[in-house]
Order: sequence, then structure tokens, then C-alpha cells
Amino acid sequence: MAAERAARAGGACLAVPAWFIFANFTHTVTGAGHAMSFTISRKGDIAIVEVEGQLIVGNRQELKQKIVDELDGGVRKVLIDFERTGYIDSSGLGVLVSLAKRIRDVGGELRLACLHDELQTLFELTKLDTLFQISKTREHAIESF
Amino acid sequence: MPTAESLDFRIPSDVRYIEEVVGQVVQRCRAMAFSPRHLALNVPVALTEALSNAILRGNLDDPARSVEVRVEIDHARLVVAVRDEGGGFDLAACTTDATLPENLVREDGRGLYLMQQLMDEVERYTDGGNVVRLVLIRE
Repeated sequence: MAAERAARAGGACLAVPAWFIFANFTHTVTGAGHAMSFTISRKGDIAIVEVEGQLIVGNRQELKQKIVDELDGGVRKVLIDFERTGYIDSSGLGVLVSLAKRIRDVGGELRLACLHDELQTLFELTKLDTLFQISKTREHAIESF
Repeated sequence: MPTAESLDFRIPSDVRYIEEVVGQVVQRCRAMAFSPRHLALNVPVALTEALSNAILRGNLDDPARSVEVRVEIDHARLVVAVRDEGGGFDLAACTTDATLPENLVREDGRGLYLMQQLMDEVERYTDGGNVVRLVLIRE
């Protein structure tokens, strides 16, 4: 895909940049820009987890722990709702794979719901759309258990 | 619309800095009228992968080490160079096809694959540090 796009752009093969000199750091970051939260609610015997913000390397363990806590508390049906999710990196995808296995190992079921177009593309690029049961709406996901 | 812009960051090896760097780069790409898909998928995911690789693998999560990021954006493309203090790696040898059946259930191994799927060019070289350079052509 990248090669095709590069070809469309004229097949440019860019040289190592001469400007790669870090003399002036004109932009600062504080490390505080960590806008993410998880909310867990119940509908019957289903734990519904809403992921708000990014699911990335810096917070993936938090999601995993929350869901493991639910499993330890006896929950066996888990629905993760991505309606308010921004983007997911490979670490976030890895945690979802890990959780799917963990839930399956205890005889439970996992559903994903409400992926926006870019997240759907991400799952398709990695073929994880074939590994998970993904529903367009939360209601459909609930009905699928 | 601005015609071109460059950004430089130096961050400690701490994954909590990633989101803010990514947010600033996405914001500048938005100002250059990059497509919604680039803003919501290609740029944030590929840059997050490059930064987390630099922090966790290049710098071994050592907060005493820094990651430097150089960004150039214009109407045609985004170029990002991420430099860590590690010894580098063989990009081709370390990239696995995440879609192969044997890799599908792995928890790791998707980062480099995603970077290459989402960027038009990915290269790695050594230049006083280990550098991963990403290029995205604006749609």
C-alpha cells in the first residue's frame, strides 16, 4: 500500500535529511497530555466498558486490569464500546488480543462495538477483524451474546 | 493555510509524553488540510509506534535517555524523524507480517508492520543515534 502510494506520488525516494540536527527544541511537552478514561457499567450479566480517548502504550494496562478485575469478580460477558475512542496503537491491539484469550480461558465471551471508520480500517489492516466479534452498535453486540 | 512548518521535540523516555507529541503533530497536519483519515489513523498511529519503539526498545525505557523528534510538514507531505539513543535495528528483519495466521493471536509484533502500512516511506538509519524516519504524502 505504501509503495503504491509512493509510486502515485512520483516514486520519490527521499535521501537522509541534512536538516536532522537538533539544535533548537522549539516545542515543549509536559507529559501531562494523557486524556483517556474507562467507564464500566452493567446491563444484566454483561460488563460494558467504554474507552474514551486513546488506547495506547501508556494506558493499555489500565484497561486490562479493569477487565481482569471484572473477570475475577465473576463476569463472563464483556463488551468494549469504542464509540468515544480516538485511536488505538499496536500495544492497545495487543491488549485486546490478550484479553480475548483470557476471557475465553475462563469460558467467557468478548464483543467489540461502535468502531469508527478509521478503527475499522485498523482492525482490517491487521486482520483482527477476523479474530474479534465486532458489532456496529452496542445493542447489536448485546444481542449477540 | 501555512505553507510549511517544522517542529522539534526532545522528550524523556517516558511513554506518557507520546500522546502530547502526537497531538501537536496532528494539530499541525490539520492546519495543512491533511485528510480526516490521515489525521485520525495514519499520523497518530504510526507516530505513536515510532515513539514507543524509541522509548521502550531504543532507549530501553531509561528515563535518563532522551528521544528527539523532528517534524517537517508542508502542503505535500509530512516527514518525521525520531531519534533514540539505542544501537538501532534491522527494519526489514524485525518487521513481521501481522496478518499471517501464526501472528494473528500474538500480543506484540504489530508496531513496525503498522508503521509501514500507514506511511508512504519508513526508513531506519544511524546518525549519531538511531533514527526512524517516516514520510506520509498528503492525499
